[in-house]
Amino acid sequence: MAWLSALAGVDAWTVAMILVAAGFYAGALLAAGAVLFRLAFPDLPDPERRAASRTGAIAAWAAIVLAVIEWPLQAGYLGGGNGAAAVDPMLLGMVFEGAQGTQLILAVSGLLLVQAILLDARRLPGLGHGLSLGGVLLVMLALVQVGHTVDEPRWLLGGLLVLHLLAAAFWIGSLWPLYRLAGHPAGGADAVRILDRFGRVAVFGVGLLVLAGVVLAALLLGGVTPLLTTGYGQFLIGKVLIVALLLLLAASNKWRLVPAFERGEPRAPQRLRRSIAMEIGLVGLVLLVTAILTTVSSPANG
Amino acid sequence: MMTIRTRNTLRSALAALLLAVAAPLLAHEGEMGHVPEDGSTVQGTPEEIGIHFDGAMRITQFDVIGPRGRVSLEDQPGNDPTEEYHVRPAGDLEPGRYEVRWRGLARDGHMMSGTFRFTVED
Repeated sequence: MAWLSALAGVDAWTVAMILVAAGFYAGALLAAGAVLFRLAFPDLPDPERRAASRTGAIAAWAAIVLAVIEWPLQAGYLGGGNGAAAVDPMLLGMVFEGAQGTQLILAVSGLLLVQAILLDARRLPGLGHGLSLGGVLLVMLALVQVGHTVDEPRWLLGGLLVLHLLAAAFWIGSLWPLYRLAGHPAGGADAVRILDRFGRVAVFGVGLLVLAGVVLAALLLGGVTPLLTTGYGQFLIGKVLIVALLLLLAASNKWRLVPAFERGEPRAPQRLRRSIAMEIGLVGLVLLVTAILTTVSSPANG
Repeated sequence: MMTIRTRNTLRSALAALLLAVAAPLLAHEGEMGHVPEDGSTVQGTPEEIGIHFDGAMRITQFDVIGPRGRVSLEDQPGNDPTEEYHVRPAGDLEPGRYEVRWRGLARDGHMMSGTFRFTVED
């Protein structure tokens, strides 16, 4: 199996790079998603609004730290996977001058701007929204700097990836506030209103996520054969299978658990929370597979 | 009933998918060939050991490992972007199996790595 042989050559250094990359993706998308979720649901109850802002700000700091750690890790990898190479000024310089450096600068600037999400609480809603949205835009730009989306047609590939990432960020950013809302007593008006509206918004979000992902994968792989024969294609199939599970959970929430919650069934909040917690776990797995995809394989070389 | 907007969206999606399959992209730098060829057997010390890419690559590590460990190399180029990366062994290579391990940075920021092997006979 191509995916097994891709993993066979992975050393401890590469494992560290994969884990840090997965953490960076999680932090950056959670931070961006918190901003998007707040914008989409301006009428969140106060405690959930504050929780979403706090989560976004903490996630942004975590992503900043991980983005900075990625720099010496990448230099170390280029020098053969050792500590001496990680602090080699020539290799550090080479990484910084390249696409990774651009990504680092854009990501850190964007994630610092995302902190403006906290300004909202201090009665500066317009400024807070504007700055934090600017931050989201920079984070998205950062994520399209490295990899095959810089190939031509760059605008199409980069645009598709940004759409895919925005939808993914919105979904990821919504999970924690929804988990909290599901903890409200079943039938509570605030929770029902938001869960119901999320269900409607999510259909478009998920559609966009899947459509952009499928077109992007088709453009990058150029056919069905590499999907089956290369490590990259096989990891991608793995990712799609986990996303399919996530979609099943989301569908069950929308059509079964949220209506039960709305009817005030006493066990509904607990079941809904458990389902959202599973979604959070699966999202973590998707990000891990994505980090493996971008770190140890490529559509060109399997 | 499917609304006109939904139908248009589906049509656009289908068109995008067909377009995607019709025009596969040229992906980035890949290994095009090795000297000596991967898996080959050479008589005596090869004049040069190297790798050829289909786009510019900045090689950051290029180690040749043989029966006596790492082989010293002459003329090791720097790590400027190059499509051809060739080195000469500093001395004679004794018979045995050799492995070349390389890493590099592709134009699009991808960090790449690879190995190839050859055997030296008397």
